Amino acid sequence: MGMNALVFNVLQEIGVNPERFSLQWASAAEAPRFVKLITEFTGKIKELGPLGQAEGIEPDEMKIRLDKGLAAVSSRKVRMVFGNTAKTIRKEGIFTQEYINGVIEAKLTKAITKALTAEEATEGAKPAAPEKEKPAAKKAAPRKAASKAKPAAKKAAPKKAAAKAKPAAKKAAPKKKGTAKKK
Amino acid sequence: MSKEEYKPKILGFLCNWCCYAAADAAGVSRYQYPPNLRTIRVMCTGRVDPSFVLRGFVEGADGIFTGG
Repeated sequence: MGMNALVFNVLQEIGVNPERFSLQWASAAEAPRFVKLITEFTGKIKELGPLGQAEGIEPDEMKIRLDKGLAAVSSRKVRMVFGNTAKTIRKEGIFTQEYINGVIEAKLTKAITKALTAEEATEGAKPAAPEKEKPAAKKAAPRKAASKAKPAAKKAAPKKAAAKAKPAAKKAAPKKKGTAKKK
Repeated sequence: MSKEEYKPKILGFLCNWCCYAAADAAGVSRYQYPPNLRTIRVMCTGRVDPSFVLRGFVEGADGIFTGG
């Protein structure tokens, strides 16, 4: 239940209608209920139309936003906060959907927005990685990537993120290990 | 394109023990339901991670149904 609250939050953040995701329950003996749920859900999605149409977002922009959302959800920071929040929910022992939604929203909104904006900062680093094959871009791109990735990571979590940034820098510039370390 | 022609891609994460069995039972007892569902069977709904859902949208699903 915390999972769907997190997904709803991220979808809202990136501008996708959260109704496109649904978490429902039907036991093995409830075939008619399953049929009802699927029919309703399909009807709803048919009404909304293809992804991005109801939201008024172009497909290219949608792809970028979804990639961002995926990166945010996979980021260590968000996953850690999510895990801790789940732990506190278990401790308190209140499992109504409203309560869980409230707690998740209160604790995770900050981490999600941070992860989404941090993704913007490191976005320059990602396309730089495949560019290393191109001889022309070899000199300029890796350095930029390393310098961009480091300050963004420092903001998020000084010590842990530094370890995270290093492998990223290594990927970007495998030959320039020395320069990256000196910095 | 009219609404009748539009076939949404719906991804379903179905629990092996609940919704997947329910879908199976629905088939056996010949209930009719829309054919837009692409099913992924998971051994428990608790296995579904937020990143699975986002990945589903990235890969082009119009809606994602999780059934436990």
